[in-house]
Amino acid sequence: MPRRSVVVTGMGVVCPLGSTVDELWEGLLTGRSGITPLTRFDPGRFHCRYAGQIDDARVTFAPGPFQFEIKRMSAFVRYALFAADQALGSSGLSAAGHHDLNPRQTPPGYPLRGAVFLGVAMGGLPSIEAGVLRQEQRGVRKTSPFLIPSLIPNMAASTIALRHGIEGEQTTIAGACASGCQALGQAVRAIQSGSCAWAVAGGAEAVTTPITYSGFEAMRVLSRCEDPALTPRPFDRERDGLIVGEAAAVFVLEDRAHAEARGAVIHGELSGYATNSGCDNLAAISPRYAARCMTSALADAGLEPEAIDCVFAQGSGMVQGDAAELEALQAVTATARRRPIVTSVKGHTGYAFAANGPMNLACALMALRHQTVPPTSKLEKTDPSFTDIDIAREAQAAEVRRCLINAFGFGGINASLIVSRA
Amino acid sequence: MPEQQDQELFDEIVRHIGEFVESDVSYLTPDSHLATSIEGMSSLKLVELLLYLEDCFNLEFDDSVVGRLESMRDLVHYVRDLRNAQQQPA
Repeated sequence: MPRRSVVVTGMGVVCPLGSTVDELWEGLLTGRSGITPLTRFDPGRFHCRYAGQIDDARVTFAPGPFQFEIKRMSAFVRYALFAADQALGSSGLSAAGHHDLNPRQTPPGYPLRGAVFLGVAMGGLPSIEAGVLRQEQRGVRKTSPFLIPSLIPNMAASTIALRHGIEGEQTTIAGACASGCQALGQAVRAIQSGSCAWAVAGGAEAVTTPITYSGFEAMRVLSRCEDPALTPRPFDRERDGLIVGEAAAVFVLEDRAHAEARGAVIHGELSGYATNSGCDNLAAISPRYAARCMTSALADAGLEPEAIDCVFAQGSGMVQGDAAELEALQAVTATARRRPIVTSVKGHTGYAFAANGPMNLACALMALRHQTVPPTSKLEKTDPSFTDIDIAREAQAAEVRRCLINAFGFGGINASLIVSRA
Repeated sequence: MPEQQDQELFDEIVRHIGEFVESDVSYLTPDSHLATSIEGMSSLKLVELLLYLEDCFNLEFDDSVVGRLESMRDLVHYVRDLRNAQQQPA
């Protein structure tokens, strides 16, 4: 029996470039940078004073269940829900006949056999910091009863399920910066297995808070570049680290037969997925295990390396990470008759941890739709080690049939997805 | 709630609850049940509401009060008595 085909029928994004997939795409093609001086706290004591921040004025919710609670959630929950609302809305999946119910009390109706898979790496760090400060300043008994619910990583998936009345499995994956990619992969496998017919899946992260900056500065992974127009710069010989970004990208994935039966618009097919453990290092990307992961994803899709037209790389702007990813890609495509174009969107959006993979999927779906590869922003002087790799400097028209998406996380977690034209 | 002061306090509490839940709660009466009369109320929300009212009235409620207050009348009396106790000379 052939494996079930899993397709994307809904997309939602909120990121420093905007609050829709179209705004994200427009920002990429026009070279807009979402990296700006940090405003969520005074960053004066840190070397890095920039971030890719979401405009909270754009993150609004229609009247509906749990309105009160949503306002008290940490930012990653609100962003995930906002993106999920878009994805579900654009999917046309909502069941008819619920419009006469009280929207303040009753979730909208959706077909049964739905599930939620969300990737979240660090959860509500800003809420933890705020909670500690509040108890120091006002006393322990002034702690909000919503503190714990607001910050636990599952609350993004839980809020989506609660607000939309999705009754099947809800799973949260904490796989560091591969979390969102792994969540998408788990959703693909669940639909392939027949355990659900459709799923809301993606990733969210919002950790622009002092503990993030102190922790990552201690690891020497944040860029110290003083010009936000020049950082982060993936694959550039002068790259010096990442810039923290906020984002959520959430999708409706669906059994193709289920989607076609209801006449849904299909944006692409998730045709391959793999994840593995790179056993070489706690925090660095292992080229050999990353290569093995990409090769496994290709095998899962039944493809050879030359079938990939474009790679949406993790490409963070970190010195070791970028080199390791491209070394892995060189190994994967060493004998390929043609090699893919490589691009990274981190120069536009910053590095959004668990949301990296899902953000890459949103960009890849738009590349498939528009037959255009978006540019690697801020890349000026390619690292000499990468000169044999075709890295997109400008937006370029190309035949884009299949894209490889990478995401790698601390702990040696690698994840790769293949997305193909529907 | 015969006394005018209690009525004024009741109105003030209703106003603060409306601010807190961001909706019109003018339907509340002294007999309204705190946990069930306010749309969408939950145990967590009730605890947060009491923290909010503490700030509004510059009072500190006893930690066990959440389990003892059932009606709006109970809440009004509790706030009234706590205020009076605070105003008494030590």
